[in-house]
Order: sequence, then structure tokens, then C-alpha cells
Amino acid sequence: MSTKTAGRKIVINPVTRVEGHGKVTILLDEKGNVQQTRFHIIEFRGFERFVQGRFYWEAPTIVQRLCGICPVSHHLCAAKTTDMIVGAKTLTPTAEKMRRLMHYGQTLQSHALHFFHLCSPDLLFGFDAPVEQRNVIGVIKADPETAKKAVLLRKYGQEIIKATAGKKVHGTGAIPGGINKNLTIEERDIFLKDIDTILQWSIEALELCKKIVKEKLEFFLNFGAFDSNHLSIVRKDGCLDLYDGLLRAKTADGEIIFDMVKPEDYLDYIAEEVRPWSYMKFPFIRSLGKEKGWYRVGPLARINNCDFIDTPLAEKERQELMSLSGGKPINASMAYHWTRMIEMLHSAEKIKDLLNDSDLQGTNLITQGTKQKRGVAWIEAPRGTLFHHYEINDNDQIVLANLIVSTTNNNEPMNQVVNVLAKDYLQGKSEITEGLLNTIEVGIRAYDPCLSCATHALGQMPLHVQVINHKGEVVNELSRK
Amino acid sequence: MNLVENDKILIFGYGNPGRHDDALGSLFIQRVQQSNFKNVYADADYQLNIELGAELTNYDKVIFVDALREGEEPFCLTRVFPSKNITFTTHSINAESILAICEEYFGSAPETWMLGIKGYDFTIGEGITDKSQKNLEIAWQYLNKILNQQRRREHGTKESYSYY
Repeated sequence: MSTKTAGRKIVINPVTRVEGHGKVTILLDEKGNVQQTRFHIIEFRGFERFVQGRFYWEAPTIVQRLCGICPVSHHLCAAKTTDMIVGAKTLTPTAEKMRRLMHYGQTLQSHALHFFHLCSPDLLFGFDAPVEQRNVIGVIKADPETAKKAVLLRKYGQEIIKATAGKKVHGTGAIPGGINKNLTIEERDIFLKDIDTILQWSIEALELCKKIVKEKLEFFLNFGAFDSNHLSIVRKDGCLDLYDGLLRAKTADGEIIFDMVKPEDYLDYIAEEVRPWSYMKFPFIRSLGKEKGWYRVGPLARINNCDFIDTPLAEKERQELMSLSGGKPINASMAYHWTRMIEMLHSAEKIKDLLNDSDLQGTNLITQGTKQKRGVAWIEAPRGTLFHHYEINDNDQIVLANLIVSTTNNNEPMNQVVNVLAKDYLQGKSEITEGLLNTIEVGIRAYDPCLSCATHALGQMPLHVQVINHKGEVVNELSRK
Repeated sequence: MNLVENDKILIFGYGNPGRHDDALGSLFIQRVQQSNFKNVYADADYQLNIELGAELTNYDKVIFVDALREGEEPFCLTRVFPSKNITFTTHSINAESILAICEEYFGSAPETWMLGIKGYDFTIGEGITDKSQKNLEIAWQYLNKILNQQRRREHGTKESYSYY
């Protein structure tokens, strides 16, 4: 690969605080200029193998094994896909609201984890801080109360998931056409007791994020910034909706590329490119082609794309953020953090609304209709839009499965951010320091990628960095154990 | 490992059952749950998460169970201590860090052990390998013996059992 080219190659392998087996390669020419950057996925995942040959009703349970980081997203997206297969066009209010509660619980805990555990060490201590400090324990030491709230926010979200999905591993709450349980009064009251505290902590987390960013606003708006298209689902009226909606894509300037696209039509609008050096595909908008059609997904794209948010506190925050760009899309990678915290607040508000809705105690849980052989659905997972597409045979077995996961949708943007940061920070440097390497990782982490889906056997090497010259010799090596 | 009478014990297995031998942790937990030991609580997840730091304080002893990628067959039982010098942080978190969070928040972390059961295949797919199945059996027999020993003590038997 790049060792054939004159110059030296920097390899970050794998990326820390990013899930799984990712690797960054930065090839410098003989003058030290960045010649090429790549963000690799070095393990073939074969998602579709999990699903093909299985009965469609097994999918909501099986697909959770694809990812130990966001099993709820796969669980719900598979359930929505099988809704289409069983002809359940409209769920009962109890089923839909239980699923939404599960999803907002998932988003709350996922965004809390990312901000406090993965992102805040960088924001609080700086990109050059010692690696020993740049972690959650460092945050605890610096601000124990905030860190403790982060842990308890996570716990609250996880408990919501447990109450709605049934259990942590292989949750069975969502099933084709509905849900298999409602929320009891006892369960509801447990969550209601703490929801105002959770809401307050979400506000505080957002304020902390804003305070840090505003202190260095120009820096954060320019760090790893690049123009891109933005893709997400929105409600029919343009409102932010993390659970269901129609697909919208905007340009970097905010012009609509397409809007109100239904799930079953996704292949008319989205295509995927395979590149020989990565196992992860590169999706793009068909009408714009491979070169110009790639897009961002996730919190930043969602906030950029929606017209408004239907919860008051989050909507106020959205307006404040969007005023920075005069209402046009923000194309700064670090704005992911701010938008992620707006969504965390939105999720807390939604959870409160749902807990006060008596539909959660309803007993009509399942909808049935005319069976179809094809199902396509999407959901806004914490990291971005997630697509599931199944086709079944006469025996109800899935014979075709196509999944586009959030991190795959953000593949090209993550490559772009590595490229931008390498050019901004590594150009001409004679020594590759921890701080410089972390700068690259900070950019990738903004997208909260989930690369490999959860093999956590003991003994994996967390980080290995090599600098290789044009002769293929290792001239610099850095490992974190 | 010495288990004292009336110790409240958490056995927590983790790993992804969709990754062949990475299922060892959750399979082990199924055994524990079927055995119904007094004062022994079992739970499983795909991975360790930071909120466990708030949970551990409720227990006297904790045993994490995970698949072992590199290490001795059939299993390895090691004491785990809090580590504030975290350099391995992903979406998941390691046991040492969980203990450190527990210690930072609550002043002390429970005595904790890691039971690593040797696995061989961590690629995508269901079912564990024959070799790791044997390792699971041996590890289970070992811990089962310890837990049974504790149960007998609770019924008046004075003998004790220790290992490592």
C-alpha cells in the first residue's frame, strides 16, 4: 500500500476511545507534507451474515449482537423493519410510546457516556494533556460532582432500557408489530421520581459544554472543520425526530438535496461505494455522485437538518446554536459535542413527557396487517442514521439483508477530518508527540464512531503507533499499554 | 480467594454472544443464575460500563468473568485492583477503571477478581468452540466448588477453601 510511495507513514492502530479495530495512516512525503490520509477499518464485520437465513421475527433479538455499544438501536430498527414485513403500518399508542421511551433512554445514556467519558477529558484538560489525565478518572478528580452525575445519567438511561427492553443482553421488548410489555405504574413512578434531576443534570452538562466551547469559540469552529452535506430523518413537519420520520438531505449551505423520502425508496437516493483499502463502505447521495455526495450523519446533521425541536428547552438551545451561523448548517466537527448535548436534553424532556402519558400503561400492544416480503426502516441512532433492509422467502426466512450503520454513514467525514487535522497540525513536524496523535483522535472521536461492535476479550492492545520511512523501516514507534 | 460467610457477591459476565468465544462471560452467568446460590447475584452485559462503578459498592466481593484472548488455559483467576492510571478507554471500560470510579466516589472498592476463561475464536458468529467449552466447564466447576463451600459454611461447616 503506501509503503511503495516515497516518504514516511504514520500509523495509529487502533484509535483509542473509539470502538474496535480502527487504524489511522498518515503518509508524509520527503518534505514532511501530508500526502495521503486514511481511516481504515481493518476487520471485516459481515453484518448481513448474522441475519440471512434467520426467521424475520428473530431479527430484533439477533441484531443486537451486531453491536454491544448500541444494541437498542439495532433492536428497534430491526423491529421497525419487521413491522413493515408483518404489515403493521401504524403501531398502537402503547407500542410506539414504549419504543420511543426505550430509544430516548438509549440516546440519553449514550450521549452522556460520550460527552463525559470520551470527549470531556479532551475539552477539560486540553489535547496536549498527559494521557494519564485524559480519561474519566481525570474528570472525576477535576470535577467529582459533575462526573458522578455523568455516571448516574448513564445509569438512569440504562434502567429505562431495562424496563422497556426486558434485559440488557438480548432485550426482547420490541417485536414485529409492537412491543411485548407495557410500563407498570411501579416502574413509571421509579423513573418519575428522578426525572427532574436528570433533566437538571442534562441542562448542566449542556451548559458545561457551551462554556468550554464559547471560551475558545473560533478555535472550536475551525478545528477539523470542512463543508459537507447533511443527512437525517425528520418528522413530516420538519421537526427533529430520533425514532421515526422521512429522509432529508441538505448541502453545506442548507439547500435541500432531497426531502420526505420514504424508507422503502432509500436505494433510489443512497448508494454505497467499496474502496479496496477499507472494509467499511462509503455511502453517498446518488444524484451528487461519489465525489460530492458524501454526507455527515449524527447529532450535528440532525440539528442542522431539522426545522425545529418539539421540546422547549432543547428548541431554545437549538436556536442559540444555529444563530452562530445565521441559521445555516454548521460544518464544524467539534459542534457535534454541542449538538449531542442538545439531544441529551431533548431526550430527557421526551422521557418526562412520556412518563406522564398514560398510554404507557395501555394493554393493546400488537398491530397486525397484510404480510409483505420486503421491509426497510431507519432510526436515528445516537451516532446517526441507521438503515435496515430485509427481504424474506416463503418460509419467512430472511434471504437478503442490507444494513447501513451510523458509523458507515460517517465514514467519509471521518476520513476528511483526519485529512484536515493532519494538514493543520502534523505538517512538517519532526516529532510525532502524544498530543499530536491525540489531536487526530479528537477529530475522529467527535463523530463517536463505533467500529467493531464489541469484542472485549482480555488482552487486546489498545494503541500502537508506527512511523515508517520510504524503505519500510520503523523509525518511530509509540504504544499505549 | 476467600469467601467469608454471608459475603454478598456479584458475579458479572461480559462479552458479545455474537462473537463466538466472546460469549464465555454470559454463558458462565447463565450457570450461576441456574444454581441459585444464596447471597450471590449474577448479571451480564455486552461490556463493562461506567455506571457499574456506582453498583459495586453494594457488594462485598465481585467476580468479573470475561473471555481471555491471551493467557493460560483453561482459565485464569486474578485479583483486580483499582487503577487510576487509565490508558485504555473506549466506549467500554476495563475492570480496574470501574474499581477506580467506585473508589473515587465511595471511598472504597470491594475485593474484586477477574475470571478470564481462555477463548480462541472471536470472529462474528454464534456458538463457542469445543476447546473453550471445555475451559468453561473447568472454570465453572472451580467456582461452583468455592461457592458451594461458602454455602456449607453458612450451614455450620467450619472448613474453608482458598485459592491463589
